[in-house]
Amino acid sequence: MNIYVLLKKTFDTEDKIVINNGEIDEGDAEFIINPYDEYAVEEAIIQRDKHGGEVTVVTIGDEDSESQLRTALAMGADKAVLINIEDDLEDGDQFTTTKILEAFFEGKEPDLILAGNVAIDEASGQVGPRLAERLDIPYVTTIVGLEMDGETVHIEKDVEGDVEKIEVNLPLLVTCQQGLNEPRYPSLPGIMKAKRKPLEELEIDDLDLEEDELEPKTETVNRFLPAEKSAGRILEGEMDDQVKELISLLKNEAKVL
Amino acid sequence: MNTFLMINLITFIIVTFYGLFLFGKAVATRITYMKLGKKSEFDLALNKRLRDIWFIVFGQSKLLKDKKSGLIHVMMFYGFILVQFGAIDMFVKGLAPGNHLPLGLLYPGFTFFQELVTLTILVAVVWAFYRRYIEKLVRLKRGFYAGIVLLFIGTLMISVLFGNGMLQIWLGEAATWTEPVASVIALGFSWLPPTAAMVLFFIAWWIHTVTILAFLVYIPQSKHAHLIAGPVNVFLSKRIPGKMKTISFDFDEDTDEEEISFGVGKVEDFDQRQMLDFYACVECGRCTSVCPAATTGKMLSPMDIMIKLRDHLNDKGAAVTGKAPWVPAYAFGNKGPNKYAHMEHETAVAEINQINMIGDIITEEELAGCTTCRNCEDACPVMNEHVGQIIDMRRYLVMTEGKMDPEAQRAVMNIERQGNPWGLSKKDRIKWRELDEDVYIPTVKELKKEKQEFEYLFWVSSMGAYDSRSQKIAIAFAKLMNKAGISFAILGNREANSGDTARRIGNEFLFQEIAEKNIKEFEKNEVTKIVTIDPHAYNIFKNEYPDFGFNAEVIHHTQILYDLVMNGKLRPKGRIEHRLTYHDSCYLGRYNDVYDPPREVLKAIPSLELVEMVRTRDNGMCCGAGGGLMWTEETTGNRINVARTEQALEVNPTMISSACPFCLTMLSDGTKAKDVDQEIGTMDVAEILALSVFSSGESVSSKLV
Repeated sequence: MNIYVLLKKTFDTEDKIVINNGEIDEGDAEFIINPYDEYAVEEAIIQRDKHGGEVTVVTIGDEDSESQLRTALAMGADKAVLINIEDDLEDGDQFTTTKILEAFFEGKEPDLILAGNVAIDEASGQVGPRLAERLDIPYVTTIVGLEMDGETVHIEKDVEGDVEKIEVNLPLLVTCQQGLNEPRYPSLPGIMKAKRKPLEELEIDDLDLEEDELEPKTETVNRFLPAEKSAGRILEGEMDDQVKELISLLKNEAKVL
Repeated sequence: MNTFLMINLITFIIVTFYGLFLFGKAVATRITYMKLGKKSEFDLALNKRLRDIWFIVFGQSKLLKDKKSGLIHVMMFYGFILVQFGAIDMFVKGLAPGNHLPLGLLYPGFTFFQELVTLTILVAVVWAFYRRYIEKLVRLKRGFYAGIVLLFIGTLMISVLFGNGMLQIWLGEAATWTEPVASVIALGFSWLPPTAAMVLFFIAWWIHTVTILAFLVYIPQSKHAHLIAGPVNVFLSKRIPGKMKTISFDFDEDTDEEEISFGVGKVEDFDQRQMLDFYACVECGRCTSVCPAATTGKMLSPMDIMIKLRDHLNDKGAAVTGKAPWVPAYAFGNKGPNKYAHMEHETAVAEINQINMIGDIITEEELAGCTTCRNCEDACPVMNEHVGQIIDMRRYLVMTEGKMDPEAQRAVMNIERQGNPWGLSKKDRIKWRELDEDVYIPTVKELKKEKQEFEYLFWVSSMGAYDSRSQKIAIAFAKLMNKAGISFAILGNREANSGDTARRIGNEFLFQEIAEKNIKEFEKNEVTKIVTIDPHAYNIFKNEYPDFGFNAEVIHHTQILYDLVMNGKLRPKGRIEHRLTYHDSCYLGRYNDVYDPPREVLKAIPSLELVEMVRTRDNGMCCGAGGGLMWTEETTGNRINVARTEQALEVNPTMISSACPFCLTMLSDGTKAKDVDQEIGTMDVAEILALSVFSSGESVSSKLV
């Protein structure tokens, strides 16, 4: 079975985002595998261990993305592909990503593609479904359970806290939601083995793509940080006075009444 | 008669040599097993070792922590050493009747003394039986084999007294006050003809002889191996208690990854000294009876870890070396570990390798339960080091298999990324000092810019920097240092994690990365003295960083506060009208023997009444946060922190104090769980001292924090 994982490198969840001249300053931020993609990597390994085959992890990024790919290899993926766009593309959006991935999958016969439900940086959640559309295969988003039985796949999908059970056939693309599994911690022998696993590096030329084909369809107009949260207030005094004060604050200050 | 004595002598010699041979074989077999293990590190430190032997072996100091059982053991221990001379005397009497040990005029005194010793041992045997089978002390096992030693010793004692009585009748000796018991027995049986007495004497004599030899053979193959392994183990014990072994991660490129393993995944991965622990274990249960995990219903029992590993080593040793651990082998057939020794070598090895030490013998759940508090080690009369073994096995799970509790994993990954277990931004580490702008808390960098020097590096720790409750401790302590004119600096955002959590969880690789980085930072800033409010950081900097080439004077905040109060630089003025009990942090107390400085500081505060819990100082129970368990949820049994809080409540305090931010969090949660947090405050020693020092002399009796 050919299993592919779409992986994105993101800021660590707790890293501070700093904006300089309208651009996000990466400074000395820590980068991690997008947490939802981590579920995808884990699930890919689980399914391969059960049903055989090979797990290939694909990312689009720069030289430094190798670190996240190596982590996925250390967890147990078999191969990794880095599509390095550092020198070729200035800007890109979900369209760009989908287009590159579509080109990457050309001629390949994936049985199962796993991606994160969203990436925690821009949280668009588009790449998975759009890629499936382009590849003309079915997709299920926000899955929290996956059982394969021959060509049939039984899926549990998270729908706002409820679970929807879906049966679908391979080939298939799924996006993974929290609760699907508990991603493993790479063992040291795993980390050492990962150093020798194949990591293929491609550029857009290798995919027969031209820069102008990849022009983003969207434009970023502005980037700004949310206003700082001010501390909460605790009202004091008699209960009646507190209620009065609360109502007046809601009316006059917060203007919600 | 001479013919009989001749036959008697020859039989005695044959039986004795056979007994000695079996004893030697059983011991040698176990030594062979231990040789399967890795070589142990050992530094001589003879003084410390001889002192341990003196106090722990001859002074029985650990045993006497349990007064009753300790006394029984003292009676048996010294009784058994002294009674050996009586045994030799007994041999002489049977081999050459009419003779005895050539002690001349002293002999009557000797026999009197021997009877006294014999009776003492008998009292101990009966008392021990009472404690095990009638009082049913929880920590003791109650099977037949658990108490078989009492049968051995009882038989030995009675046979010698009875034999001596018969000897008197046979040889027609008069009753004597120097052998009161034997004389009474002789009087009671005076109606016996001498020949019958002779026969009975030899029966008693042979029972005595055979029992001694049987016991000798039994010793090395049972928990009584502690007679040999115990003292040796005490002598070989770690110089710094609880100090962890360093793993080397240097290996050449050609190493086969499949072969690489870190920590202890199979019994041969233990070092030989650790294996000696297994054989030294007496199954007394003192460890398990004080273990915070075991006593709150977790799956961990330190004693059972020892026993299971010992039995597993016997199985594996038998399979690998082909030597049967239980002798004489014909008496046991294919029972127990002996079956492996009797199998074909390859089959035996294949069969034993089917068993995974971690998983089949020791479960992950047991390993996860340990708070590394070392109460077990402290209680152990033979100085076994349970915690080291548990962490060695955790290291295997975490590093070789990548398995750990998901919550622990999250904490470790957060430390890896942001240098703190919550994963909060490392750029926010310094923010705590904004809590009180009046306190002067410079960073090393700021001082450098002003061309100023500092004496102490104040290691705030992740708790002090990020945890809102612990930040107050850091502020109070900094304020006290300001007041006393101590020159100090913090690393600010350059401070990372001490690595204690990573190391105790089993991630030695991450710990060493962290340690190297920290040491670089220390060296860059020429740090020679470190003071910290975190006992875990204190312990690891003081005792474990030297292995990586960093040596500084490391001080806990209660130690420096003690000095400052004693030399008058800090004067507690405000009266604190509270009844307070102090909880010992494991890493301060049991790991580093710091018991008095925090107490003395508290005693220096006017009006403050200090009361001790039942379990205090070296037997103080853990709060439940050590060994990385601060970051995981307790799902089985009762909560450790609640159990400890209940112990504190027993002495009716109005305040509970501690000198560790982890302990304080646990106890404060404990008071909430017991619904007494409205009445009983929980505060760090530094905070209480600050309250008194910065008071204008008034008294405080209201509820604090």
